[in-house]
Amino acid sequence: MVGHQVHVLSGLSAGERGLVVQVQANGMAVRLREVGLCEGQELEVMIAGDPMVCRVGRSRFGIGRILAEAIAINLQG
Amino acid sequence: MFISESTIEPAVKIRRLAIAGNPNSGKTTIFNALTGLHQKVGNYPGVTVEHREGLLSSSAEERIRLVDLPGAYSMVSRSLDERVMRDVLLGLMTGGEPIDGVIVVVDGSNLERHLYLATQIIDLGYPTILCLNMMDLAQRHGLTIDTGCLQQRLGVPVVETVGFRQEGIAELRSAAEQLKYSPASMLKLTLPAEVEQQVNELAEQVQNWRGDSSLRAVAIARLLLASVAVDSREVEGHLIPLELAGAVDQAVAHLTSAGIVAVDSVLVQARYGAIRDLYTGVVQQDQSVRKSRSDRVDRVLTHPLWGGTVFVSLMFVMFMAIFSWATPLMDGIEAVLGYAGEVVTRLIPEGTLQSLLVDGVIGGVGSVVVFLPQIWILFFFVGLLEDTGYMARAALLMNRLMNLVGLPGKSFIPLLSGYACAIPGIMAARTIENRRDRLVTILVVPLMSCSARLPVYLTVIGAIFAGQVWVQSGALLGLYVLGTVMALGVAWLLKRTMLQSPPTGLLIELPPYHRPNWGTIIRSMWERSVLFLKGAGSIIFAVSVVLWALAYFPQADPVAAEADPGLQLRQSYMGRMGQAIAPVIEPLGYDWKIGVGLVASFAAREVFVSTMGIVYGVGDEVTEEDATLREKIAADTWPDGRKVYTPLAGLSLLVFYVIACQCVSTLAIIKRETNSWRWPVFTFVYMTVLAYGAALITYQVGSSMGWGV
Repeated sequence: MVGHQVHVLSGLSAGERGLVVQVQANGMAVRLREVGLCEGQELEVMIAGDPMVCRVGRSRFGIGRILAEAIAINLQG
Repeated sequence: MFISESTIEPAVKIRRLAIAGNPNSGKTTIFNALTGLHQKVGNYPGVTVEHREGLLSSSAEERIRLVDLPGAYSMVSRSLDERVMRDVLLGLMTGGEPIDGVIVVVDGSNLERHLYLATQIIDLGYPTILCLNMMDLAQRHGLTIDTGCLQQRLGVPVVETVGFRQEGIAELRSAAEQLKYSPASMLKLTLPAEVEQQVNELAEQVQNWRGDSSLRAVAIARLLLASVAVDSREVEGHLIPLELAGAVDQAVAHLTSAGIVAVDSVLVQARYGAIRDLYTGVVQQDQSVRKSRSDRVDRVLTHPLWGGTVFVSLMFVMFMAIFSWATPLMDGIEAVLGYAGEVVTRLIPEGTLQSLLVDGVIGGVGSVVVFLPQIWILFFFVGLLEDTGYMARAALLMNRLMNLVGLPGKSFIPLLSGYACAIPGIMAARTIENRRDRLVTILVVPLMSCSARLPVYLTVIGAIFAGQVWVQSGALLGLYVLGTVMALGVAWLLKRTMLQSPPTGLLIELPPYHRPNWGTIIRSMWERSVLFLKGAGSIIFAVSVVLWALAYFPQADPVAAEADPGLQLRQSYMGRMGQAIAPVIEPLGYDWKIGVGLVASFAAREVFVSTMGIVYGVGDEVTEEDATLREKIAADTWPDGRKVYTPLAGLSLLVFYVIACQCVSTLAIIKRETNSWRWPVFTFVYMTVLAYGAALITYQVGSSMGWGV
């Protein structure tokens, strides 16, 4: 993981992007993965805050803080 | 001799195809395009999810019916809508007819994600068509899709469409007509050996249970293992019999001991892996086109400040429209009914029949259809916001605010519409996925001060605060605030007690923006009207006729009634009921005349003003702008000479009207929307108790403090 940093999604700011490395939300993890928010997927933060708006692959999602805290992102660039 | 063909009726074969897809795949547009006006809307038995069926094609030999399934992200159901889709596709719907094939609609510009559900459905082994919709958007994003290759890899026919422009619809229809049973194809998942083994063992049990084909049994076994973490309280209704549930638990325990903790996630990832392999080489991305228009728009519209401003302005326009645009239409409806009343009065001699027709029947019809304009206008806006893709943004923006009382962002629009009228508000709660959140919203919408309360507010405020304009405006604003606080407070309480649901965290898809489809919007306005007329209209009508009878019988002596216009009502059953409840309402500061008003306005609170007009002998044509009634009310006294309408008694009456549930239409629509008598009864009881209590506290505390007596 040289040159990369793992962050919790909820702490990212608008414009940051990276790959999803871990999804741990209790009870919601499967749903997050089913809609495409799964490990290896590219994610970009469009609006930070609570809820935040993210582009995931070709979809856009509004994500509340509880879930955003359960998603780990490997920042790119 | 052979019997000639024309003499025997050829047996018309009926095939039923289901149309499924993610929310926002354009599924409804495709369904409408395929079926045109040949549609039937109803409810699935026992649940409030809409059932929509239409005729896709009809020939001498065969008729193809199309069933529109609710939008879903996965066969692993998390909401009532998703459960209905799953149950229909698995043949578990009670009373449902079997499905002979499926059309899966996917968003061609977001194929990878939409293939998740599509492959789950293809796995079930029905003859299936994949409809690649929104191909215009895919092109704009620089995507080229090799449909021939996709068709080959999936093993099902693939048809490209642009739903809102009707492109590809003819091809889709002919594909549906030619849809034959094809050798089942199933997505090959690369699973750890232990998981594979458990899937196969479960599949055997599924086959024993239902006798499914071996491939479908494997698909169901995968679903069972993928559903292990779903909270069944939310979904209500179990996929499988108990013995099989035991087998699933065993499989999970077995896998856990083998080191596989989350078999559900393993299955999701395996499916996405398989989809990625399938996708490679099928979809080409032109790298020069990337950023979508929706992304740029969203930077403004979902921004907490700018987005919030846009949203508030939109809501203001919508609210004003419901308030003001509906008025001329409602006046028009009333004028037509008034004319009908005149015609009947002229044709039928005076007497019971005339009164029944004019006051009972026409009045009853009037109290039903008068709600239509507000329903139309609200659902025009709701349809517009949903069809353009804005609704998801609005729910996102309001989420934090509504979360304070435990409700989701989507509760905002139903509650706001409640200021105009509870009925469209309650119907608009359908967009809320979580059943408990939807129910709480429905139960508190009637506390928002609707426009029918306004005439009562104005009459009573005018009587008790005569001439004090500032006090009057303040009091009016205060009543609206009181209703809102009550609604939010009750919602907060219900979410903490009877209707708790675990916080699951917010996840809303923001679909790409697109031009609204006016046909879809007008169709939804029409459907809401029909549902309202059919579901609630009959109850409202029946109650109106009963109330007419209570006020009409027994008949007073005609000579005496001529001299005293209030006599008939006073000595009618309704008048007697008003007098009977007088002791109960005296602690609230009300006399028997108000009691009559309360009984009469049981079904519709706006009747209070005209009833008071009759009781005080002003005539029933009175309106809230009429000074005569206000003056009479203001001057009325108790037998001992005390004023009836002291500011305090008036305030207590206002508090009662803010909170009480005096609207049979609201109760009827709650029955319609919750599919049970339990919730309308609950609403009536809690609102009446709350109203009585609040009015009692107002009057008793007020008098003991010596305020406004």
